[in-house]
Amino acid sequence: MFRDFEERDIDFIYRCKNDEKLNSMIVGEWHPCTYEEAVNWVNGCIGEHETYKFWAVCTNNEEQRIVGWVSLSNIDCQNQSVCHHGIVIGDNTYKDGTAMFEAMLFSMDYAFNTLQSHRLYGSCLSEHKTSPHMLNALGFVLEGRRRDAVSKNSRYYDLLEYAILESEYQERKSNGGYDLNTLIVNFIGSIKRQNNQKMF
Amino acid sequence: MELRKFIKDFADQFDDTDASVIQADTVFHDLDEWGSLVGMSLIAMAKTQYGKTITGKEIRECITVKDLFDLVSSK
Repeated sequence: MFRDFEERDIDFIYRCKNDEKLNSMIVGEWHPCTYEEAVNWVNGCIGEHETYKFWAVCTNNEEQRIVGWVSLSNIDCQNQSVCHHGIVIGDNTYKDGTAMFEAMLFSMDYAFNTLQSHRLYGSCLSEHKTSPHMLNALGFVLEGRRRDAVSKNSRYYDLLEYAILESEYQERKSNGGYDLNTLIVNFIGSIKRQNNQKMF
Repeated sequence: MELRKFIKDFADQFDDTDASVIQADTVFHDLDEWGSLVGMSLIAMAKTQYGKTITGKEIRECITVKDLFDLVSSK
């Protein structure tokens, strides 16, 4: 389930922000984080903000312990667009894929049904093992590839740009495209298509 | 359903992890490569190779590979 950030999340965020492996394929720059920076980061997530929104992904019980986070940014009322800023599942027990999809579906629902956005967009490194396939499975359309756009891990990565429109989201939703089993089939299908392309 | 075959099928879901590392008593959440990609592949494997539907919640309740085998067997 999802809730606003709370001060009790700081230790988890501090651990995640200092996990080099967890951050190795994020688009943004990464550097080890001080505890004070983690405090400031969590405080920046708490509450309502005009242009961004962060949620803690947490356990579905009374404790509501944080296991990750999901966020939207660049909320643009003029163009009715919003950026899927990121999703992190930092608790190994919850890295089974389903928590990731649940978080994505939650943020998509918020973008299109609460913010009433027309367009939701996002980007990921082309070599990220999961993100391109997750976005494909969710019906995002690949709009472009920015070559060598991101420098990290002592090399350059291509950046893939994706987006989905509100009409595409609603149509897919009404056709059962966001049923978890369908998402898994589409996710695996996307991986197989990529592997086949590599073979030929 | 045979445990040895299940362990091999499970190990096949990993790209970079030596199959010999994966045994019945392996705590799979602790494997370096464990993540969303392998988790989703596991759910797909259970469906396509064993005809069983397992959920993320059920996987979270498992600790070892043997627990996963028991989960799929019980379906």
